[in-house]
Amino acid sequence: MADLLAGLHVLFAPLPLLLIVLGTVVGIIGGALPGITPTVAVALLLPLTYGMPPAMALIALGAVYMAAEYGGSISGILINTPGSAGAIATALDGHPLARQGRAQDALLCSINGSSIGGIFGTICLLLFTPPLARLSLRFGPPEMFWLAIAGLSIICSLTAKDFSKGVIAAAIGLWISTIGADPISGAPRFTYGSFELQAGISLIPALLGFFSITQMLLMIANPTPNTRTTHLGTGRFRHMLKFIFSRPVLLLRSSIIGVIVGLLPGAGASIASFISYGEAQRVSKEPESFGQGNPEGVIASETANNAMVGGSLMPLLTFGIPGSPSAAVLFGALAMNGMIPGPRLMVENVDVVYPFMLSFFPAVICMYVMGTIGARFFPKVLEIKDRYIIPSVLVLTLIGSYAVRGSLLDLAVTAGCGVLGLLLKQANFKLAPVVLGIILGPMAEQSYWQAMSIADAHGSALVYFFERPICVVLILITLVMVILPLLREFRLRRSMATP
Amino acid sequence: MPSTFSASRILHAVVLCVASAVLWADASLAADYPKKPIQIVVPYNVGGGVDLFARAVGEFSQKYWGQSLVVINKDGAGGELGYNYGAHAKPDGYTLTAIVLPNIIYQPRVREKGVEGYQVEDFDQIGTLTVLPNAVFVPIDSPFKTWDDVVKKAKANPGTVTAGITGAKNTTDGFLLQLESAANIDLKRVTYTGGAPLMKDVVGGHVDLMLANSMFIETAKDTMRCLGLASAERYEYAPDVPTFKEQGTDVVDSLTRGIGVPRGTPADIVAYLDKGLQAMAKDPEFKTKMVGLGLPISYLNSQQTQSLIDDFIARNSWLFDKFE
Repeated sequence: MADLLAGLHVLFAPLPLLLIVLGTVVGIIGGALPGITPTVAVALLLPLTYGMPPAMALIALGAVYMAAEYGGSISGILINTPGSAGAIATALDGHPLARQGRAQDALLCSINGSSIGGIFGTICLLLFTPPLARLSLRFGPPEMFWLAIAGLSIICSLTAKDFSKGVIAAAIGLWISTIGADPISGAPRFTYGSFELQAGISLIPALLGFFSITQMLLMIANPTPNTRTTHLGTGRFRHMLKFIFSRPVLLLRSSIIGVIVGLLPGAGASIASFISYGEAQRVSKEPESFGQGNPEGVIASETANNAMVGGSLMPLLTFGIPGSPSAAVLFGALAMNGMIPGPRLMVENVDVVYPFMLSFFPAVICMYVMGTIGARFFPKVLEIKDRYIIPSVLVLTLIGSYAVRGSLLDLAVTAGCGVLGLLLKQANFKLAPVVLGIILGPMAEQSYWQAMSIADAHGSALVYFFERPICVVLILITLVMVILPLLREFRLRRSMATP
Repeated sequence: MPSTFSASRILHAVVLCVASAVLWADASLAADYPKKPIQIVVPYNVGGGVDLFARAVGEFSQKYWGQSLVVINKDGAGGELGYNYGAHAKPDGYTLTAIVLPNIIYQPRVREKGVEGYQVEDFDQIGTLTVLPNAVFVPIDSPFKTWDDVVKKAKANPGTVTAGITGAKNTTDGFLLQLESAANIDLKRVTYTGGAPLMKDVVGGHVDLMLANSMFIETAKDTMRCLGLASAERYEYAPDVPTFKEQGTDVVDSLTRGIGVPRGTPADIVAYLDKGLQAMAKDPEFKTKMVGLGLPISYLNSQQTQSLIDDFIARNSWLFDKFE
């Protein structure tokens, strides 16, 4: 308790509060820009924190991390170009909402969801770090494998209407994820002698292609007049607040999913938001409205990816294992200041750790203020004529794709995925399952082979994959995810057959 | 034929002018080097061990190289992308590459036949700041108390001890092969794609051994125990940890953090960078920073780094065949 108070004392001073504002601005802008992932945004600010006292450095970087996970949703909602991988699921409903003239509503859902998730994650971080970090250790390779499968089973609900097309789309995504060096043997797959392809297709360039480029190509192909009016007035704020807070179960479930996925290195914001989105759709009374502009989809996804922030810091602070790439940069910031992330951090560096953890509260508040004000002004982007929007977004997207690691191949990937996305869209395929396949393919493949090696050393693979408690839970979730939409479809058809 | 004569004279003059301009430009380039910020290519991801190393050097580059250092991350294919970029950059001293040995020795050797790519000879070594002996870790509550316990169990029940490596055909993979061969045992290899997921599974008790380097002795001292270090003698920064050699398994293997430039970089620029790096390695503040990162300084100059490479290739050619 005394530590907490001391932490508050450090925190509420002009410098840290200024750093939080600065970090939040950098985070929101970086998050919204395609290609600047939250990790890159945090790393960009890292050099500026050299020479700062360690607590100040962490506070600034933490604010960037938190805000960037929210910022991705802005571009996702407005122009269907998720600024970060965590915002892919957000765009699935956020952009349709924007097209219906409800961009402000979508942005309000996003900022409220993000803030609630962020606060929830921070509370867990303060209160339950040791036990939750121990939980993360119980996720071995078989658990990670089943988590990936549970994630993949979301395609059943994503594409209930046309299941076979969903499976084909996911298969395309899984295939794309196999391009490059085999993670287990190192053998090249589909690389055709190119060392650049050895590295595989990275997620961000592919994502920018499938969402941003495809969207712009569609806009060129089907010009629509600018009728997307967005002035919904001030009454919307109260209305949406009521809408959001009348769904405590959705908020709680999404937050918990975010924290748990955040605990696991190798499963990041995109997986957290997709699983949360899939769960929201599964329990929804009107699952078919998801993907058409259901605000619950936006809330589910955004709540989860910000709750993930707190989760990803728990194994870092307890064991020195970063739960996400951004947490790894924070590991670096700690190490550079001569602190060892791990159990003794909580003992020896209380004066740094508590202000850092507590700083997420003002950071979220700052983000909330900026996001709520922004929700009124960001939709103005939609009033810009398509002929200005399309070239600017195309340029921004290609710059973003190149910026990831300065590779020309990534530009080709973005362009190629954009065209592929257009073709698939024209043939009535959905793109979300493709991206889901790209995200989950490597996780499923690697954890499968890891689990098989371990099972081979210890005896039976059957026991190893099917008898561990967390595995059983994940398998049950998967079964429910697969069977429920099919059952619903079956009932629907029967009721249509018997008039 | 006066006209032709004058034409050829003009040509001569032009050629001379251009040549001298080029030469002069080159000379001035080396003389006022560095006149703009220097880039360093990090072929691994942001926040990773090599990235942190490069950024730590970046903090001191103004002081010792007179220019700031801009870190460029080009990760992918275990470093292949970044090393290719770095090796083929303009050899003008403005593009450095963060070098990790023996990664850049393994990589060209295990590359698929017929695929173009950099060779270890494409780099001139500026110097090595840190030499980290490879090491084997177990969770803190593991029943394995010594390396000998592992060897005994692996001999009694071949293939039942699991050993996690951080990537296929990388340094930890090579280290595993050397350990198996020297101890005459058979471990079950579990391949990861990075340190964090592997460490989670080792600390969580899913995998028995983690193959890594001495860096983790400091950074993971509350969660993992080190069973042995692959150094020739006891490592000065962890004198309590026995070497593999003294435990009867003769393996000496390490991982480095250093800096290189594309071959063909003017000798005076290499010398300038070498001198600056050497001075940086002696800076107490830099030393402290590096210790904090788990990268205590064990400086090797340009020449010594090159002989480390030559020695490694001479000793381990059998490994390259085994990788294929």
